[in-house]
Amino acid sequence: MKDYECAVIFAPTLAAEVLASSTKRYADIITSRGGELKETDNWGKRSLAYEINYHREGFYCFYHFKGGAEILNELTRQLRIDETVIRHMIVRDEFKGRPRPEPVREGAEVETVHLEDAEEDV
Amino acid sequence: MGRVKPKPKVKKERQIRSRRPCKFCKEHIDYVDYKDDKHLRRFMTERGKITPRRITGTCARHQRILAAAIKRARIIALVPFVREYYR
Repeated sequence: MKDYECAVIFAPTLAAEVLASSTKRYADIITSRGGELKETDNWGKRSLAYEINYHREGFYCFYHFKGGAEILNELTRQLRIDETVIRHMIVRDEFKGRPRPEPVREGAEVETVHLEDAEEDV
Repeated sequence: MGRVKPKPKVKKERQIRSRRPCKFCKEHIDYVDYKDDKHLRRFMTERGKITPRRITGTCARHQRILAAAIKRARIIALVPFVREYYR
C-alpha cells in the first residue's frame, strides 16, 4: 500500500449533477477496493494552460489515497474510458500524510499579472 | 601569399557576479508542489521554458526537484508547454 495522488480534469461542459456523480465514481473505485481515501480536493472550474480536445477550461479534482496496484490499474482503465475526463495523472504522494506546507505565494503577483496581460492579446 | 598573422586573442573579462543563494535552500523546502502553478511560473520564462539555474540561482538538487514539478504541472495543464503569442 502506497500513497498516491490522482489529478483528474473533467470537461467544462458537464452539468453539475453529472460532475458530482463522476467525482464520486472515482472516490468509490478507490474505497470499494480496499483503498483509503484521505482527501479529495475540488478546485472547481479553472482555465487550462493550453487547449485539450478544444476545451479551454476544466473542472479540477484531486484525490489523495492509499492503495495497491489493483486500484491503480482499475482507476487508469476507467479514467481512460470515461469521456467526461479530458486529462488525468496519478503520481506518488510525496507527503505520505505529513502536513502539507502552505503554497509559496509571495512575490508571485509580479509575473502572473504580466502573463495574464499577454494572454489577452492572443 | 602572405599568411595573415592571427590576431592576438583578447581575453574577455568576465563579469564576476556574486552567487545568488538558492531560494529553496534558504527556506528549507525539500518538496516543490506541482499544483502551486503561481510559484512554478516564477521559475519559468514567459514562453513557458524552465529558467536555467544560472539565472535563478537555484542549486542543482532543487533545480531537479523544481523541473520535475514543472513537468508534472504541464501534463495537467496548470502551466504551458509553450506559450505562443501570435497564432
